[in-house]
Amino acid sequence: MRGTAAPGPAPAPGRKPDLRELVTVYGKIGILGFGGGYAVLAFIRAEVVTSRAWMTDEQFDHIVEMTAFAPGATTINVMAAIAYRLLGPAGVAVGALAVLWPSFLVILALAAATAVMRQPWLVGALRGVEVAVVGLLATVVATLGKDLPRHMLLYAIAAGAFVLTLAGLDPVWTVLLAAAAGALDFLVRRRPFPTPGAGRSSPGETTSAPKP
Amino acid sequence: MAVLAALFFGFALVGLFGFGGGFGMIPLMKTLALSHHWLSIAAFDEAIAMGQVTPGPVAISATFIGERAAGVPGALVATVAVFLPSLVIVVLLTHWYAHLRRRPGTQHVLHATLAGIVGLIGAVTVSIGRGVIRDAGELALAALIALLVWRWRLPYWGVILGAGVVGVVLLRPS
Repeated sequence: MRGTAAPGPAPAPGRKPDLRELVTVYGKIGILGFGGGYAVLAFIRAEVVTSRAWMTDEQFDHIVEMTAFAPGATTINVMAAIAYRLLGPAGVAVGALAVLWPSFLVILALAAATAVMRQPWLVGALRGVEVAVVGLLATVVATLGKDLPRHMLLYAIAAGAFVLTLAGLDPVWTVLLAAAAGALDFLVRRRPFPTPGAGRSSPGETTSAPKP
Repeated sequence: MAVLAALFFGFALVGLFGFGGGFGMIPLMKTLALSHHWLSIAAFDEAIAMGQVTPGPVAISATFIGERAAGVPGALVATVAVFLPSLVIVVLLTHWYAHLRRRPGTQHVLHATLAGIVGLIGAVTVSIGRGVIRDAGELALAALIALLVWRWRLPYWGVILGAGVVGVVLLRPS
């Protein structure tokens, strides 16, 4: 997760930007932050920590760790938490607008341009990306699964969610059921899951490898 | 008006329950969009692809679905609704995270939820894959992409760009 170390002496962390600076930086990330995920997290860190020193690496790591508890897109959540810490509710609202408007407009333009959308080369490109999405989804399953503790209940929940979803249950219920199963298990057993990487991981598996 | 309300509440639920990062929202968006007949299955796959080719998070596919359901107002409502819950939760977490983290059950429930999300995304990988992948060559492309990202940490933007180019050359309809 840690990006490259800051080159040379950085300004003292903790300098608060004003809203205009926030819009500039978040707008830049909104325009250039293709693909989402860890690549964009590294981009955000480079902007917010390395080159502008609005916070320290530790504070940034803490925010990323915290957003695991929130639903939604990780990158937007991390940026919202940073904006909130720096500038309060106004920072969240303005920051979210600044980062989202480029994608919003591009999507609207694509949706409106139906004639362009039927161009063979664009249909082909989108088909390629659709195939890529299937591959990416598979890696998300692997990545999320790797970070989970090795425990029978969690395997059972994942398998149950898989079957229920294919059978047509609304995913909202699946998520609620999974959370309820976890809560019930904790109330009954009163013992935490083994931490990922320790305990009953299968031999040869490197579960303790750091995230990218 | 009824469509806008359905968009708002539907996408707010997507935003509220889509744990595990942006990809965790895809199963919820799929159920929502298809059950309301806002999009065909093929158009949904296309919407997710468009969420990938634009900068910004995957959840921006909500914008496209909203536009198809109710024009520009629909796009606005869907976009606001899908991001609003997580923004509110992040603000609340900022205040309560230290407290929440000390409660032993919290991590437990999160892990169980994420295990459910793993199953969800697995299922949606299968169901989207069944619609999108038509032959062995495309299956090989998807597997290659998974391998490149998983083993060699190829960044997502590189994957999307590469897959788009391969699509233009090889998957273009004649």
